[in-house]
Amino acid sequence: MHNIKIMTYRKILLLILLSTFSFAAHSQTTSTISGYVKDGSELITGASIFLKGTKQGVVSNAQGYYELKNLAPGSYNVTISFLGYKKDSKQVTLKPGQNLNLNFSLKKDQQQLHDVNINGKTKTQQMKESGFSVNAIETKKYANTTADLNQILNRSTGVRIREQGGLGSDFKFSINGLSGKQVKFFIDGIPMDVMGTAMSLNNIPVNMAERLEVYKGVVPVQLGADAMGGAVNVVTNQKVSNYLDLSHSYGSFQTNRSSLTGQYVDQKTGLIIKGSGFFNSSENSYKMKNVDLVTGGLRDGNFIYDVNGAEYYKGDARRFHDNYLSALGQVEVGITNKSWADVLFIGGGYNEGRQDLQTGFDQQTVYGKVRRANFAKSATLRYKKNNLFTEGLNLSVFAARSKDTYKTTDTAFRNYNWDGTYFTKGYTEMGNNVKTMSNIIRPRTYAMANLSYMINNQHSLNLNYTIDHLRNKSFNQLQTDRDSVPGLINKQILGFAYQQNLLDNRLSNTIFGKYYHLGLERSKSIAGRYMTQDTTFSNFGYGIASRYKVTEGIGLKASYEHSYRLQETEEVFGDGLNVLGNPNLKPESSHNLNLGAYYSFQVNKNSFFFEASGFYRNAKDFIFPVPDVRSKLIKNENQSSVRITGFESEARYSYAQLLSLTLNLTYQNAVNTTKEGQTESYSVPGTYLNKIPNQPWLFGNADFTIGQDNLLGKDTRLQFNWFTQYVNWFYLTWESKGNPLDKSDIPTQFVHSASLSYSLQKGKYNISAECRNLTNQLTYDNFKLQKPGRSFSVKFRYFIQ
Amino acid sequence: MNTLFKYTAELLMLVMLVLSISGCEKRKEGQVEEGTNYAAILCVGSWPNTAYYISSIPSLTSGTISLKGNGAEMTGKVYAQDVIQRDGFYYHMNSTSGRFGKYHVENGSLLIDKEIPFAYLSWSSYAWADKNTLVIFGKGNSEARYAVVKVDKMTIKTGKLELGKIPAGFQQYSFGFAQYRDSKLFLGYGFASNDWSVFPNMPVYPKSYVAVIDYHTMAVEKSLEETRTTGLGSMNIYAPSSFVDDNNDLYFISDPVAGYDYKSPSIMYRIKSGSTVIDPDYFFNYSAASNNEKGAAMWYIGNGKGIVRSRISGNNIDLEHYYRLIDVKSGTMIKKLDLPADKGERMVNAVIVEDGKAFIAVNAVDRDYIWQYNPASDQLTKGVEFIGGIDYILRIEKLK
Repeated sequence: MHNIKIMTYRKILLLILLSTFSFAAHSQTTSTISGYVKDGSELITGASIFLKGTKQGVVSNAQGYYELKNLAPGSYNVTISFLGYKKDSKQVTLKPGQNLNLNFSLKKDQQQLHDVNINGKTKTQQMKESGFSVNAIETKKYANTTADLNQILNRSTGVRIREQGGLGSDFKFSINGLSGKQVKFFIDGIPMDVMGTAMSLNNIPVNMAERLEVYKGVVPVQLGADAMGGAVNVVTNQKVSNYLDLSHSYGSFQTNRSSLTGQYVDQKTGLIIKGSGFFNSSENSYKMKNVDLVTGGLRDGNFIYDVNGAEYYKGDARRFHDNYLSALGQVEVGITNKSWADVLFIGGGYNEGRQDLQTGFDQQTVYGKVRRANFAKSATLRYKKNNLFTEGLNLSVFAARSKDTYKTTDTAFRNYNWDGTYFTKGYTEMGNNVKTMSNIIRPRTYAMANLSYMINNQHSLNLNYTIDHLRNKSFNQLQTDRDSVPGLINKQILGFAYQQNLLDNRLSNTIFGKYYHLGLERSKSIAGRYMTQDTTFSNFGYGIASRYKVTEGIGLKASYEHSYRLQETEEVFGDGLNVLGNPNLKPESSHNLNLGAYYSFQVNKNSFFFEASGFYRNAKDFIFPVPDVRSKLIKNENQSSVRITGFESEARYSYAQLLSLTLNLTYQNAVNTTKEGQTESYSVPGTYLNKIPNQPWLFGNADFTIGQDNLLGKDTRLQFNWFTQYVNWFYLTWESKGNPLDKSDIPTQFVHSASLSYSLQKGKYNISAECRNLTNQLTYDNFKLQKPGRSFSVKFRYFIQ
Repeated sequence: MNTLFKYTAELLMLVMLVLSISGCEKRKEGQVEEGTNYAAILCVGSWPNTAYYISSIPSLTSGTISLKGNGAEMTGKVYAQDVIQRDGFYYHMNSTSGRFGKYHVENGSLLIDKEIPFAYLSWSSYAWADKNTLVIFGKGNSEARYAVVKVDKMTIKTGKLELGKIPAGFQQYSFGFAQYRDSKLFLGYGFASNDWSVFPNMPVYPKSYVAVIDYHTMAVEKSLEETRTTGLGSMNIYAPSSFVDDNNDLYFISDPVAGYDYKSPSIMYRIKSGSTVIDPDYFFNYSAASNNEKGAAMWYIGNGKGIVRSRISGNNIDLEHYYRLIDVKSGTMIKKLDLPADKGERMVNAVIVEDGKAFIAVNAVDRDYIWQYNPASDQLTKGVEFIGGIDYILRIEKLK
């Protein structure tokens, strides 16, 4: 069945390609004007180019390229405009058959740019108008807040991030109901984990990112990964100009966060130095309410050496073992605008994280000594050349070599209680029989090459290849100093996309295919001899994303992808330590469909934007680690299948720079479609088509900002933000099962936060104060693991460009 | 300004929509179950969304049991299968959160009677010395350990068991059956490896032991050595593999597969009343009498007969099970009970004995019943049925 489908797609593709080339080969007697629109070296997409006094005009494409064809010879005034930039025009005379090359370099219009961010068509707006189902978020308005990227993303539609606790805690990122390893994270198109463990969304400060993109279910080939449920791409500042953004915040629970990004461009030589870094630390000493404390027993300080007679009682206690620290530094040096390279950078980075672990799976499991640490170093190379060999052929290459070390220390034979007391345990805190300092070391080589070709204004092609070679070594440092049987993963993904813009750019279609090739390897000791076990898998995924603009402000969107999440070495072969192998594992796969529409318009200074979409995910063979009673280890199994249908909507209103209001709501109905239950049976499991438990299914956000310029002096801005997050209650277990009198659930949560910021000298100096969880609500995401209560913070930020 | 109002109205509608969606899914009202003599621990869902429930069984011989709106939820209190029961109270050791608890079901909820801080050992087996005294065995800090629990007040006394030393190449104790008889405790044990890099070909220590322990002093008097099989009984926190019969003779059956030994047979042994040695005149090679099947669990049903939960032959522990009837005294196979294959969980506390009859829960491919076996008439009859697609029947218990 699949093969037939693939065949048909290929045929269609071929047909379209052929017809395209025939277009290109058309007549030569008329004249053409073509060229690139840039801002420095940055390409400008969506600029309008028109011939004054005629009706002819085009819009520059994603490569900044435009083409005005079939022009009669004569004199023309070519005018170009783009929101946020000063209008420009050039007088030209065309000879018969001439192909005139006319490039534009636009200058920013500071005043206009200021307004644009409030109501105009920004890059994020353009992304929303693409065929993909995507959240595009401009981070600028959050730049003065203490938010990390997770907190910003958590405000957008279809996204739900569930955290275990405070700063640095583990989190689960869900996009339209798919989560975990099904969602992949990128920074400037590169998988984030290539850079190391500390490079993660709960660490990266808002000031490091310029824009955030969340692709839901359907992911463009440029992000080469097996992102079955979707992908998040963090886009950093790509401008070729000098800037420095320096900030520090201090808040409740001894939380400090610093961030630095900057760039220096030597205009003479074109040499660029980019640097970025952050430092986060917190004690996370927030109060846990109504938890088990211990009274009685024979004690020596905090040590209860005889638990006989010791009893639990309920009370409040502060978290005592939850220190977190992470730091990252990266430097890139390179050149731009050379004949042989538009961009060439080499870089190096180091990051480190240290973390105390306070709880296990639930908050009854309290740790007092378990620690984690990670450090990673990386070296990168980035190269980009536009118009390679021929006009419209652009190449970009990225390569990285990194080594990530991840260490968990679990050596105390103690059982801690919430009040900080402990008693002797017959095994370690995490349940190991021996003291354990488990090491996971991952040397990795990653490379990506992307080739795009603009055939003309209507048709373009994109070819993307990634190779990810990762060796996984895991061992208990207290028993051995190396892994004698490291696992190896070799993942290659080839993506091909064809994009067409038809009907005067009103219809845009992107058709793509992705070929996944996975090689896994691990040695194994059989009767004292090492034998290599290996396996390879190939899968073919495909999809389409389309958009049709009914009018300038109204668009319809549809996208589909048959996607995969590939197995990992540990899942297939085990790690010889805690995970048993399962050679029969299949990849997870899903059919993802999105249908949506947007509508934007302006009435004087009032701007409105509405967006609504429905989504459908039919995902099967989820891989889950399942505990094995006999061995006390875990084994990964294809455990369940899920069908998700949902609806999400967002409404935005803004009035010039004065106020803006965003409301969004997501409803997702995830039902269990696991028909082959846990035990072999003719009867369908009782949970078939039941709502998946322990998952929020209705949530929304309200975000209100009001700000005024020059209220307290010239070149100042005072801004106030109110943010409310709503998560409807949900059951922790199957809805229809068990006596409803006593079913565990997570109650409905309304969490309010507010911030006030004040900027001086056009945003050079900024100070802001923030309060999160204003009403000090008890909040939780997972199994009633309590999250922080009310917290306050202040942030100072210095920004020049 | 009119346009503005129009959109305010649209926003309002959106808010209404939110409220109506959230209003749709109201919590349901429940009904209270009445106290009954039997209960089952059941499990539904696939990992990680598995959920455990305790459902009462109003009658063993008729009717149906469904989890739809029924069953006390165990999530958040006792999220486990290794729950033991006596006189309607459930006991569970949670080694992750370091506590030992006593629970009971009332009005459809599982209530905590008392939980005490306890992490001295991670339990494997237990024996009741009397109705108020529970002795549990397990390992802790690489030692063999015990705890004596007075369950009325939930007080605990702990100590170390002086068992044979762990031999080279092995790292831990593994425990099997545990049985109390006349102030003595009998505990099956062996040694296991934790080198998982060689899984599934785990090293097997060829000898196994039965520790004879004086209940009053908890001193290990001796260890009886056995070399003809390994894995002397399974961890009885899941299901029993030993019993004391009407003649006060102690019987136990080995399950080598539990310790990754796929070669040795399942063998049934006896320790006669008053004796502390393995009866040299008794040796029942269960595997030889049953197509090389293994005894995963065993129950005494009276009149010299026993029922063995029998795992089919193979290099795996997760295979289907049958039930076989044995003659205990003579150590002979009577027959395979004509029941559907049990495709359920590996370890199931599947048998209740009442009025000389055995009630056997079978998780079959087709329909799941508790079957009644009447040894007097040698008849099998279908009893209560589990309906509504229950994934696992883990335990059935007699509460009173």
